[in-house]
Formats: sequence, structure tokens, C-alpha cells
Amino acid sequence: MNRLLSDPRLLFPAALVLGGAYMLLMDSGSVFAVTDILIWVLFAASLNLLISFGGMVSFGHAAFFGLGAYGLALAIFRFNLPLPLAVAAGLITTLAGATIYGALCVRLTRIYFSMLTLACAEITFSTIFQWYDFTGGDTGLPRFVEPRLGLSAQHFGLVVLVVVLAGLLLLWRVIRSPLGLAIQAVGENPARARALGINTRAVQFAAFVVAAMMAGVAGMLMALFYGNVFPDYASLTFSIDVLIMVVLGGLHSFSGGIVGAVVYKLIDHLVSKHLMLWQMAIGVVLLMVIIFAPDGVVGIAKRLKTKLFGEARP
Amino acid sequence: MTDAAIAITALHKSFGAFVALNDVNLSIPAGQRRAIIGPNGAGKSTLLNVLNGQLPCQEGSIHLFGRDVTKATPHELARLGIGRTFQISSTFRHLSVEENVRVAHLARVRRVFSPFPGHLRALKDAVAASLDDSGLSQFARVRVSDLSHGDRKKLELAMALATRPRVLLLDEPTAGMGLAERQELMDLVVRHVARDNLTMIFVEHDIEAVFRHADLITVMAAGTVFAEGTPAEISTNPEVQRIYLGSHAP
Repeated sequence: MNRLLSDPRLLFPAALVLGGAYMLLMDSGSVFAVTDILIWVLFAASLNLLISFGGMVSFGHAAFFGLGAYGLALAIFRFNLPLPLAVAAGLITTLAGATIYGALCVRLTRIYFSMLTLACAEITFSTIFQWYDFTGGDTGLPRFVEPRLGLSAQHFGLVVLVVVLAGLLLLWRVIRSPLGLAIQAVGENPARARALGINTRAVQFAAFVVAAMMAGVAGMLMALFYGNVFPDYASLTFSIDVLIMVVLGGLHSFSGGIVGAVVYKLIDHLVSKHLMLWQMAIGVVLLMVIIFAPDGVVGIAKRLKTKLFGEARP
Repeated sequence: MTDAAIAITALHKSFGAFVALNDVNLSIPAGQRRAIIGPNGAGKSTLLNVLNGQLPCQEGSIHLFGRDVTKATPHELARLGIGRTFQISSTFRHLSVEENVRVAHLARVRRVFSPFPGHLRALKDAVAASLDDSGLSQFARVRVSDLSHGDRKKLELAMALATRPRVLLLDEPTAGMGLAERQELMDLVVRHVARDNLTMIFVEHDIEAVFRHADLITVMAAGTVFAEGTPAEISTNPEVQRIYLGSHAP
């Protein structure tokens, strides 16, 4: 069981089969909810790469979610490009933003890095929000395309499942690669990494770009899912939501972002009928996690497992 | 004339009004084991930090095997052959011992940006050899945060050596260790230095270790070079006795 849960060669196909079956067999309402969660899972997992492994806390990760979504939507709405080219446009827009913002942000570390990411995201948001003639401003680009590309909820859910799993697999591969090891090393002790001959800024830049690209993909999925884009996609609210997910799930593990997104969205779906209550619920849960379980939901699960089944073998 | 491993000319470094290094001149031939001693605040650690690029110097120049490296960054200097350990052992505490050494080898073979796990596997033998060399094989899978102080110091040395440096800077390699451990670590250092014909510069408070292992000793005081000589010369220099050894002598 332990091996099954930690070996992606089994885990990813299993998730694909089970998730695929769910998507095809369940009613539209459930599929909608799960599709939404999956998109946030990819978004949160991408930020988790930066925070848990790179030691870089971004307060503006939604910038890339927004850039991906708007890159795609504008390509279709303003330039009438076909979908494959629009997807390419979304990726290129995200890459351009990631390159510029990344080069800027990795010049600083810790809280100064965080504030720079926040500033970059605010610039992105205000540009989208105020450029009425091009981006549609605060009304966004409603119905730039048929929601779900006209596919049934089930079929579109399947597409999202495949893309999200591919994105997670890519993130997982990055973490297990030499680059991933370097990202962790630089994240933990940049002075040591430099003394070994590692260009720490370049490594941080690479981590930043990978994380941003995955956030951009998540943003594109969201845009296609609803068939519209709003400035909110690049807003501080989205940046903070995804940050909360990562902290909630737990730092220092790959599954942290994934679990955090699921838990956060489940609370959302269960309590969202009463908006005030929903925000309070998240606040209380977050407080408890930070005070009593700094390694988040994943940390709690690990400790529970150790209690029930004894010490895990290293 | 063959180039010195390290040639420092008129080096100056100050922090605000505090002058940490004042007109330091040093020439260290290749293959030499040079100890730097002196009272606290003499500028020893600052000198090492300037030498590996961690601190920029304000005036003066540094040459590494004849090449001007005064303005080089730490990672450039590491690639040019400067390896170092820190006063407070500096490792990647969340990673295992093996992973720590692997990062060092990865840096050496310049595969830091590789997306292919195969490049990690290719380092397996080199990593195993490093661990074996420094007597850390049994701890390969242990997280560094669970390692003893002494073993962490050993690990740091193993990482510095894994990058195959030409010049090894050691800032108090045995600080905080017990007597037996201290000797073991210094023997380990000297064995590697001799085997790979490294130039070694070490700051050390353990005078016994300094006299036993240094070819030449530089005594620093108040940010400048105060005296230089063989262990025999230094141990009989009355001025050195007065400013440094006196306060430590039994």
C-alpha cells in the first residue's frame, strides 16, 4: 500500500482510470465540482514547487494563472485564432510574463522576493482591469468561446483530468530530476549552494518559470471551463487562495498543494451556501493548522499513519 | 616564476567604520597547507569570506593561479576551484546525507539544470566513493538534521571535496568537536589534501592542530598580517606569544 501511494508509475495510471471512470459515470453537478477542484489542484501544486521545494513564497502566483487564461482568451476573441494556436498563445504569454517577472523577482530573497511577486501580480491585474479596449476591463471576456468548448461536462472533465495529471507528472519529474535537487538545495541553503558552484539565481529562475507555466496551464483550463475570463483570475484574492491551499495542505511535501486544494475546495463546496460562514470556516481551519500542525493536512495524515501502523521505514 | 595558488595584494575590507581587513598581502604557493591564526576579530573569517567571493572587497586584488578573480562571484570561484567549509557547518538539513553529496557532484559535473534523472543515477559511484572516503556510508540515508555535529562537519568537508577543488578553505574545521573527533577530522582533511595535492588554507583555534598540520602559519591581528613563518618560527616569536599564544598558553 505504501509503495502504491508513493510510486507514480502506479499512482498516475490509477488516478487516470479511477478519475476517468468518475468523470464518465457521475452526474454533471459532481463532475463540475471535481473539474473545478482539479484545476485548482494543478494551480496549487505549481505554487507548492516554489514554496515547499524552492523556499520562495510567492504572493502573486495568480499573475500567471491570469496570463495563461487571458493569452488564450484574447487569441480567440480578438484575433480569431483556432484553439491550438490560442493554447500556444496562452503558453507564450505566460512564458513572457514568467521570464520578465522571474528575472526581476529572483534578484531578491525572502520577504523582498514575496513583495516583488505581489507587485508584479498587481501590475498584471491592473493592466487587465483597466485596458478596456483590449481585455474588456472589469467585465472580462464573457463567452469568448462556448463553455467547455461545447463538450459535455463529462467529456470536458476527462480532458481536464488528463491535462492536470500530465502537469502533476511533469512537476513530479522536475522535483526528482537534477534540477529538482538543485531547487531544493538552493531553497534551503543558498550560501552553501553557491559555495559548491551553483548559480543560485539561475536555479531559482528555472523553478519560477516551471511553476509559472503550470499555473498558466491551470488558468487556460479555467478559461475554457467557464468560457469566459475575468480580471479576478490574476487578482490578489486568487493569489492568496492558492497560497492558503499550499499552507493548508502542508509544506515540504509534493502532495501538500494537491491535498490543500482538495480540502479547501471541499470546505468551499460544503459551506459556500453561507458565504460568511465559509470564510470563517477557512479562517478557523487555517489557524488550527498553522498552530497545531505546521506541516498541514499531509503532516497530520503522516503522523496518524505512524500512530496506527508504526514507524515508517525510511 | 610559477603563479601562486592564491595571491592577495593590498586587500581592504571594512564594514561601515569597522576596518575588518587592512592592507592584507598574502601569497600562498600551490600545494601548501597554510594556517591562519589570530585573536577573535583579527579578520580571519572575513578573509576567507572575501576569498570565496561571499563578501566583496573594497580595494586590492585576488589572483587564483595567476587569474584575476577579485570581482568573481562565489559560484564562479567554486567553478574555478575554490572549495570551502563554514565556521558553523553549512549543509542541506532537509536532505539526506547522500543527497547532500549528490548536489555537490551535480555542481561539479555542471548538470544542475538537467531534467533527466539519469544524470543523477550516473553520479551513484562518485557519491558512494565520497561517502566511503569520509566514513559516512552508514549514514547515507539519514537526514542531515538527525546527524551529529561532528558528522555534519565531515559531511561538509565531503561536499567541498566532491567539487574537486584546487584550493580548500576551511573555517575552523574542528570547532565544537571532541578531541578524538578533532584528530580524526584533521587526519581526514590532510589525507585528502595530500592525495589530491590541494592547496589548503585553514583558520583554526586548536593550536596543536595548527602546529601539526601547517606548512606555514600566518598570524593576523586587527585586520592585518602580523607575522608569517613556519610552526617553529611562530612558536618562538615573542611578539606572537604576546598577542596570541600568551592568552591561550596553558
